[in-house]
Amino acid sequence: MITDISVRAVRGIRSQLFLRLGEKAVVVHGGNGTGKSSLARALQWALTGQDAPPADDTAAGEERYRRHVLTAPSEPRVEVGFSDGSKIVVTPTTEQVEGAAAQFREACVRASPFLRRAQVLEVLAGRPIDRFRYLEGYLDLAQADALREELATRAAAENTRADAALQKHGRAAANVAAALPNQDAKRGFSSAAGIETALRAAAMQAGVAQSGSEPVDALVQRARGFVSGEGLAAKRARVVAAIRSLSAFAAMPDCPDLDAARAKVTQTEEAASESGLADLLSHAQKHFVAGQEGTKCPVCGQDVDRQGTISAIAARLASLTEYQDARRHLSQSISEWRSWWAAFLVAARDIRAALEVRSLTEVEGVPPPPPTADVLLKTNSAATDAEFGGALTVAEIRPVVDWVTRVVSFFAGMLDRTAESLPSEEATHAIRQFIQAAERYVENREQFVAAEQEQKEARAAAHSIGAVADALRKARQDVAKDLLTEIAGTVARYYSTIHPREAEEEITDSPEIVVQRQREGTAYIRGRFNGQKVDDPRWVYSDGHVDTVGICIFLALRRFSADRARSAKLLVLDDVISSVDLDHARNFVRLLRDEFKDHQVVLFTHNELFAHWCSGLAPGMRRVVIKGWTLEGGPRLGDYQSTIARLEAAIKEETSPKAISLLMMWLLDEWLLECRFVYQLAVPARRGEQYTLAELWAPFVKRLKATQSALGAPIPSLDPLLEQLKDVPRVRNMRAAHENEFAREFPLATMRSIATAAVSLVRRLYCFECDECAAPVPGVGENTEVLRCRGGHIVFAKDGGSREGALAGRASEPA
Amino acid sequence: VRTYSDTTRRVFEAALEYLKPQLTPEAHRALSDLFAREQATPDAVVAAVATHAPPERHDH
Repeated sequence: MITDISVRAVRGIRSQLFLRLGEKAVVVHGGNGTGKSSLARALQWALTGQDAPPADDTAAGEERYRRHVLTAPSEPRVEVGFSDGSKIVVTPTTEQVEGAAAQFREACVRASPFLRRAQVLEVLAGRPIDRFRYLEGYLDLAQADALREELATRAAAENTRADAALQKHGRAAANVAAALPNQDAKRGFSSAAGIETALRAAAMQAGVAQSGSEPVDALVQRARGFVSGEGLAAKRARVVAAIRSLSAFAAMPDCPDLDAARAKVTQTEEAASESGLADLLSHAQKHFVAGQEGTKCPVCGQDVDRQGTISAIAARLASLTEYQDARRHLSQSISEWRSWWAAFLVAARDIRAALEVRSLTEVEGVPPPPPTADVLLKTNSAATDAEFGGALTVAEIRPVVDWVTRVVSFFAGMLDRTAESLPSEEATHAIRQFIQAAERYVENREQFVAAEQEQKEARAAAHSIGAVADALRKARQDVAKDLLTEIAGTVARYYSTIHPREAEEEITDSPEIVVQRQREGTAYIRGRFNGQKVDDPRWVYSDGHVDTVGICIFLALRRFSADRARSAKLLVLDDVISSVDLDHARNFVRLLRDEFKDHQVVLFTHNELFAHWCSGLAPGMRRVVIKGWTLEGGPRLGDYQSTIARLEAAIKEETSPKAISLLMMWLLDEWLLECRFVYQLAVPARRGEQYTLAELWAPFVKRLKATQSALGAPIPSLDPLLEQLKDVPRVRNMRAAHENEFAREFPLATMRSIATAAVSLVRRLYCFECDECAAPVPGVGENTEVLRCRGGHIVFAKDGGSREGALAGRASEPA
Repeated sequence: VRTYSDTTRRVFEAALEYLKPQLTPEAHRALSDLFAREQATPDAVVAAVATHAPPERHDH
């Protein structure tokens, strides 16, 4: 609880001002311009940090004006003391918060306990979205909001990181794209895969690639091959030459069967070189030498068989001839084979040149040659047929032939495809562009991949974090709507307390707060007038009713916060009921008394009567009066001395009857206005409760007599007192007269007697412990059973027979 | 010591409902645990959802 406040140099407060606030409730009463609001603002500055005066002379606006027209304030400072000894001291440049006051201050910042008259209408005048923000400011959403905002910030940061990665990627991609002539190819440049696809497309367009799936590196290598060296025309010429060589080779006769020829030679050689052949020839020669006379062979003595010998020789010659033919055939076959092999070697050379490989076996898909082929390939091309044939005899030739056949078939297809795939010379520029673009890509590929990975990670993180932030946003809207609906119920209850619908003249109903989830959230305040719904209460509600709506919303929000132990149990209300008539203002006081018992309430008012009634707010409520204000010193405070105490002092000390009459009139004015409500005096309704004593006195006396009649027993000493006070209207009428003239009519003794009777009457019917009049129960009229105060200190009961009756007449009159 | 206000707890509970279809069960449990232990600092929340990342979003 706040125990005291010390203010210096804040707004209208100039020199040091000290106000003790030790009680649960304090009402500060003062006229316009006496510094009430300055005091409230000073407290607001200390507790919430709002409305701080500037620290230096560079101030503009209001403060500058004040410095211009007023004496310069020195060192604005507010100190607020609390019951636990903690305190808050603020200056424009420093804040000193000690002990538990820190929590109190945090709570005040979270949900402001201050309400000024000017602010009452703000909640009604603002836009629905601003109204929603104002209302939800009391819902204690700060923790959830802090988390949501931080997460949203982090999600945005992750998106920014992703964008930066994309941008980095984009710059490198643009560098690659700049090398490509085809703008369409750049569409997929948002990812490394997209760039590779685009590069493949460019390669295909330039004639480098046949399919869209080859690795970029391989394409680059191939493309470099196309444009390196003598150029595409020469390459094409080499391929064409290779194709021709192959065709020539293919057109050659089939490879001779050397194995068969060789076997034939071997076979005939054996026959031709038989050892018996020499004997035969020798024998035959002797036969021929012996001549035709002999019939017997001189060698063997056998009969000469001329014909048989001739046949045998012929046979042997034929065998020899066959051998010779076989040898010739073998020689010819070797020659042919050599030509065939040579043609193959030529074709192989051309293929190597066309494909730019050192060996045919470098080409993927070519089967490895058999070992014989190795021997052949290593044989010197200048070797003689015999040498060559010798080499051929080393191993079987057939596998070589088979291998050559497969290789020729393989390369025949490949060269055709190569010829088809070889770009035209006109594509050279496009190929060079592709190479440039691809090289740029390959050079930055790691950067591309890293940037892409970073972008992917950042987007995923942004998505996850953003999902939580978004869920919190939706959840807070839901919760805010539920809580504001709950608060709207409290607003309606408070409103009906101040303006009860059942009251005869009441035509307005409790306002309704409608919360909608548009954008951040909106709140509309609907009214009900004469049973009809009103979109804006300001259209038809009176100023007092509209103010009540604003006050009730503020109080309901405070009650909501207090019930959740998250708010400072403090209310500082600065002249908030100025538009509310005093009848309803009493209901407002009751509302504060009943609903905010746990709060310290500080009320500022210019209305003395309201200040008087506020005294019923809490037992021992302190009333402070601002006695005046000066330019140099600011407001002067003083404890309020009740009118009755001042009158009692005046009766003893004052020598001027008119001065006594003045205080007596103040007492009766103040008191009778309350009696008007308690005893329901029958007087015409008047705005602002501006009744004169003359108008109230007669109905009051009449009501008291009727009440006595209803009770069936006289209220002790009431009738004599009323008799003594019968001249009260005259006293009032004479107050306009000159002092001496007044004294002639009402001498000092007479005036003292009347005033004493007035004091006695008030003390008879007004309980100063309960701060209220003894009220008729159950109500005014013939059925009144008891006249009593709330605490039972004053009780006048019917016929003296009831429990209250036992107490009849025992009026407790505090000293 | 419980430091979350009633409102904060209500908001977090409602947010968890919204997040059910968006988070993996592990991430949802981790987040729920953070809220229950009143330790839902931004770092902790980010760590919880990053460890159990939701399915990647595809922009079609």
